[in-house]
Amino acid sequence: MSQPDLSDLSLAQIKLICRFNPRVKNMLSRELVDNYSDFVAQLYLDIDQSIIKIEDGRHLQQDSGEDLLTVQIVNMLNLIGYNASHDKEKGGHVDLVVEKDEFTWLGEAKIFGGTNTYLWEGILQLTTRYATGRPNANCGGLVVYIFDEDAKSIMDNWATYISNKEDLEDYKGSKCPKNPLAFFSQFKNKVSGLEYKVRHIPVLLHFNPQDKSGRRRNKTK
Amino acid sequence: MNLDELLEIIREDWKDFPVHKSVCQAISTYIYNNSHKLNHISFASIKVLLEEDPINDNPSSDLIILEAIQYLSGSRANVLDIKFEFYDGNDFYQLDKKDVAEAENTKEFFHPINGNNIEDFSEKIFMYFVPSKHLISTLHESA
Repeated sequence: MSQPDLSDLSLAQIKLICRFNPRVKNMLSRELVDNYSDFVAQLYLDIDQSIIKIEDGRHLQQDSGEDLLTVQIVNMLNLIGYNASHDKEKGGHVDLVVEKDEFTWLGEAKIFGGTNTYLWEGILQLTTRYATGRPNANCGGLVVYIFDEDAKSIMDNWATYISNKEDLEDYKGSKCPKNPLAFFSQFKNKVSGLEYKVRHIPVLLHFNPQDKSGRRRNKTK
Repeated sequence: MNLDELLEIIREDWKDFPVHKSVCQAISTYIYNNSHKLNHISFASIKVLLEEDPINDNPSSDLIILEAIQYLSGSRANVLDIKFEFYDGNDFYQLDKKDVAEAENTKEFFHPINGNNIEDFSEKIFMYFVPSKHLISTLHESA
């Protein structure tokens, strides 16, 4: 039997090349996903990395709307091997659709505007219009763009609001182990009757620097 | 999708990264035009292909090539499928992704035939590429 082509990459070599580059760091993990639960877990890590990049440049995002912010997440996910799209038709125009092989994840994106009612509309759109909650598609997300300060209070308030909604049957809330500002909601999806799990994901965009040049800029506004 | 459609998607996705764009386009074009004779594409052969590409006048780093492969084996471009094989010094054995995933998760890998625990399995499991099933069926349909 002939030798394999040793100009192939070994797992050890791949890990060495990928170690410090955020775009390929999890390339192997993404490739080796073979069930929906692992797909979603990896996707959340990747979405969180995309969000960090947006937050790092939040001073440049102060005039960005929902669409522009969401398109940035979509673009970053596409470059690392997902099939992500914005405004794709799935029972309506879904803000964020992520597909990989037979797995699907849907997301609604909202700018927090001071009250929870707009966020609640996002949940209704996600869970009663777009998501069927069928197997391999029974997780989704609400991405909350927060330009206000104190994102923790906003998310805590929102978590309380949604947990008190009687429309969500068999509701269970839980903390997110990766991000203290995010949380999960699980409830019965009305279309499939199966459990649907939503991750509520904040994007921190508040920018009001109080150092000297920040104060100077505020004076000239 | 046909090659022109794919090249357009690559152009759009990588518009802020011209080197990556060129690398993805060069690999895609080669795979589309030679899929019928490709059944084991190594990382090194992709490097050679890029070095010989007349449009690409800058050698690309391993990292950029790996980023391109990650993108091209993903669900959006769907040009390559990633495969794994284990080499025990004498023979090679095809592995399912599930086997590799389990080895990565448990940090243990057992020889597929004799069941021996392979201690340095990371250095003996190799990744290679083939034209994707999606690509093959696209080319069949358009033939």
